[in-house]
Amino acid sequence: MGAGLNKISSYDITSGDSSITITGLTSQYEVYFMQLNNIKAVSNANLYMRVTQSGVADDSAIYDYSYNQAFDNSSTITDTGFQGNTVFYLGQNLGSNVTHPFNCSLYLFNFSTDSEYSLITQYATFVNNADRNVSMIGGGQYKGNSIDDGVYFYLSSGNFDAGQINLYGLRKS
Amino acid sequence: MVYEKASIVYIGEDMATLEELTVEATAEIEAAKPLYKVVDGVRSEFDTVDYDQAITDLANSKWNDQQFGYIQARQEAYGSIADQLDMMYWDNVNGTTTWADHIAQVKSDNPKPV
Repeated sequence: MGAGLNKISSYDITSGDSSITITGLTSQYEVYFMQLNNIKAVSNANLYMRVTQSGVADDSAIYDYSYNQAFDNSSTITDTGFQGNTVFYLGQNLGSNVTHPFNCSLYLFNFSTDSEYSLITQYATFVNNADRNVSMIGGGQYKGNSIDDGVYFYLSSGNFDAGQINLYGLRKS
Repeated sequence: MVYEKASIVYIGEDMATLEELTVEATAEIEAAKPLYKVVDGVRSEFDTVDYDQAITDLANSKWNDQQFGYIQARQEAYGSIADQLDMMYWDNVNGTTTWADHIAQVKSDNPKPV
């Protein structure tokens, strides 16, 4: 089989979902690609992600990540990094903006091997609760020597309102 | 059911402890029940472990906001390095203190937790 992007699963968020777990990552694909489309929170909240083993999210303090954020009303680009956190941080102050909710592309690397850390890269854009367009680029590593089979999403407070999550397998050759 | 982060302002010595924030988080999660999780498209109510995790996560989120929120707020409010250099240049030309005043105001508006 040649290189390609194969859709594995899709989930339409129901208003009121508090957490969403997507599993199905195996050694079948070398890299996985995840789309978070038009994600809305019921109220202002941060979006977090954890790695799962056998479908159970790990909240150990072994998540390192960093990101840059650019804002539409400022030439300021903020850079932020954390070591030993309990989550990956995907977005800050998501609102329930109708016309520009949270959209993000995630690449997931090395999840199916326990000899290398699982890594993510993210590219996101959204309008935050202050009505500012935010562009975000970042990445991180989950420092667990484990075979990881999925990801778990939740908000710092409140529930999801809408959106769709798509998982693809990326075959390099 | 929806739960929202409480609008609490912590100033100086009034900072809450993690234990106090956990009590707040517990009350908020209790008030928000039932909460629902989705695992591979299957929706079900949280079990006891999920609720305990939600309380822990909410308390930690409140703690992080309280302890570290000022960092992000200051970063955004300082302005770009280019803008700050421009302020410094004109301060040097005009003998003003615009840049120092700006930095002091940002720090004052976004105080570091005591």
